[in-house]
Amino acid sequence: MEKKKNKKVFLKVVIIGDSGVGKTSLIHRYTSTRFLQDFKPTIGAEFSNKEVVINGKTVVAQIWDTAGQERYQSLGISFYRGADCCGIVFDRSDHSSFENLDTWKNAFLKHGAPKEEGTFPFLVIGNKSDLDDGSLVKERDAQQWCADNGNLEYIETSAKDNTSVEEAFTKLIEKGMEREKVNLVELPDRMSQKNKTVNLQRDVAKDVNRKPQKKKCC
Amino acid sequence: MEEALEEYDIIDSRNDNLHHAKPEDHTKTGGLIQGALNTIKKNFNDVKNKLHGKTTPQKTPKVHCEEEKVAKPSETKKPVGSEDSNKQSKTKNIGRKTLPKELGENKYEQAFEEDKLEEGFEEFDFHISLAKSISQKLRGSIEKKSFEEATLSELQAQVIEESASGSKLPTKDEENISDFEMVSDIQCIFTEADWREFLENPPKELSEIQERRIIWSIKMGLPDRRRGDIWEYLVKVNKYKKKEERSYQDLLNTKDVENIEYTISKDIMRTFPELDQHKEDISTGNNSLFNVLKAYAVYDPDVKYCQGMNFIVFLFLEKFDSNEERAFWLLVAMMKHLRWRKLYKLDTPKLITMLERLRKRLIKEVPEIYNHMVEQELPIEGVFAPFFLTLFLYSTPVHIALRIIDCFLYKGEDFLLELTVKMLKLQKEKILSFVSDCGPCFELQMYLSKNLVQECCENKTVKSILGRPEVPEVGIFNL
Repeated sequence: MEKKKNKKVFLKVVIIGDSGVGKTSLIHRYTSTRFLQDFKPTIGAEFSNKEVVINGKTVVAQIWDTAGQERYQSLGISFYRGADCCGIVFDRSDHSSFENLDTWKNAFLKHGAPKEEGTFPFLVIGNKSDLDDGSLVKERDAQQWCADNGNLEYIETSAKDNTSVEEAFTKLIEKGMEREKVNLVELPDRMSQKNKTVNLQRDVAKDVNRKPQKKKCC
Repeated sequence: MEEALEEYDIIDSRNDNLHHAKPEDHTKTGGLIQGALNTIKKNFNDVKNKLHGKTTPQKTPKVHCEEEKVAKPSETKKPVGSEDSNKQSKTKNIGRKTLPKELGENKYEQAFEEDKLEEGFEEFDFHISLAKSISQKLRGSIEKKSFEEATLSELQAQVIEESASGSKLPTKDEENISDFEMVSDIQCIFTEADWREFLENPPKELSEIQERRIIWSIKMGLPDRRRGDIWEYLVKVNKYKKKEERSYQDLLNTKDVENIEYTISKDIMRTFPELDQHKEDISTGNNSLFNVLKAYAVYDPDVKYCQGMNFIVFLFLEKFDSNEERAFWLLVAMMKHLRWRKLYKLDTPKLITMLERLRKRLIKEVPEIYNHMVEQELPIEGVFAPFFLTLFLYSTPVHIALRIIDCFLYKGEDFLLELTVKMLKLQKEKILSFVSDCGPCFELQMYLSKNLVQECCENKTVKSILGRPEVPEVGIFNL
């Protein structure tokens, strides 16, 4: 592999939220700069990569799109693990998706089990702002919820109009990078875990919960 | 009975352990396949000899379907020692096992004795290997005719031509192999007319040969125009319909509970979004997809609605010309007869069991692939859950998914697992060639979720797992 001057930072971004709030559309808009009307509901989970330069650093963001239906949360454990940051999306025209923010945040913390439960970087995203007919979830209410839940940051987007989509993901990635920095100091040996052979004699359950290792590419 | 159902998954996974506890199982299966291949070999040569006017020392070949004869391919390879009697009885069981009182009735109870399940897999392997070789022989020669229309003489001629022209057919064989079982099996495939006749008055108890005919017909591909009817038969729609007092209309007219209509409505436009069907405004009451899903949500409060069901119902509606009632009862029967509702129930218990079984089998049988997926940071849940939840409709061309669903409705979840493992084994080299040096491998994800099934099951590929060269479907699913 050719060596580049800048070291790439590798980040795992997980996007969660109710079914139909626009998670796939947001990710698609960000990674391929298009808006597609015809999406299938996400079943299982898919990721896509996006390489961006943030603060002079090249970052490869691995963005995980997850199923929104609540009962698939039982599968969440494998997708949430190892996340560096998490975007919780709600549909501003669907108040129930706003009310479910609690559930999503808790599910993520439970299944993803990040070390810093209290300070893990979340970004709350209010999508479908283009549908403004006066009945949208108000920014004030969303800000209030964020304030009550550990001073989370909030952003309003529209995947359809491409409003603030890039901004939202940039914020997310920045948050992830900050966390990574802290963790790198805290866990210096993380970077040396290059050897990733799997011992099949090991308990299967351990493999299930195996945390994807962070690594830097050169 | 319900309790028994609930225990199903426990037995399920226990059985899975049993299955994997014996490494020699696979060599047994290998022996059986070898036996089957020997039989084919013998048959080809028999046909060849006969046509060349040579006499064989064996009895007259019997090609009649009514001949109640059971293939005993493994007899040529009797294992020695204490296993001998065990193996023999197993061989006989291949015939017996396929003769439940009602097709599929008690199938699972029986199947979950270790031996039975093992037999199921052996039988499956046997049929797959036969189907593979037959489809290879037939490809090209009868491409313009549907398989059902091909006559025995054409098939024989083709086989002989292949064998005479010094093809890859082996030339050496043993003496005492029963005759023509394979050729008679081909002839025994139900034609569309056979199906019509059979379904008009299906027998309460299937004869051995009927059972074999059905298995073969499914393996080789069902006639599309009869598919809906056959599916209804396979999962015993009438039985489950009779048990229910409420009518479809009653269920449909039940008032919305727990906002389920809203949940369903979010997915209507997103089910096969590229197609125009079933996109009507829900408020008109004319959206069949919505109606069936809503009625089911009322019918089965433990499941209500779960994403994945929408794709299946869409397909059912297509097979029944949008007849909501038939699609609904087929859904009900599938959910109950195959205990498939546990896949969608809250917390998706069967999905978790199936993924766990898949994981264990990969670790046991193709650890390279399992390791590779771990190294490439692809959780098997993300990739394979849609296979099961949508019965492969999520990202597989529909004409292939249809064939998979044919087999699934007959054989149940084991078929889906078996198929998935087989596909991964078949494309092992390719799968291992996808490597990312930075983070999870995007190409591997796309390959596994989008191209794998097509490559393994498509008629045009050399190694078609499903066997029969596909006759192109007409209509909307000709994607």
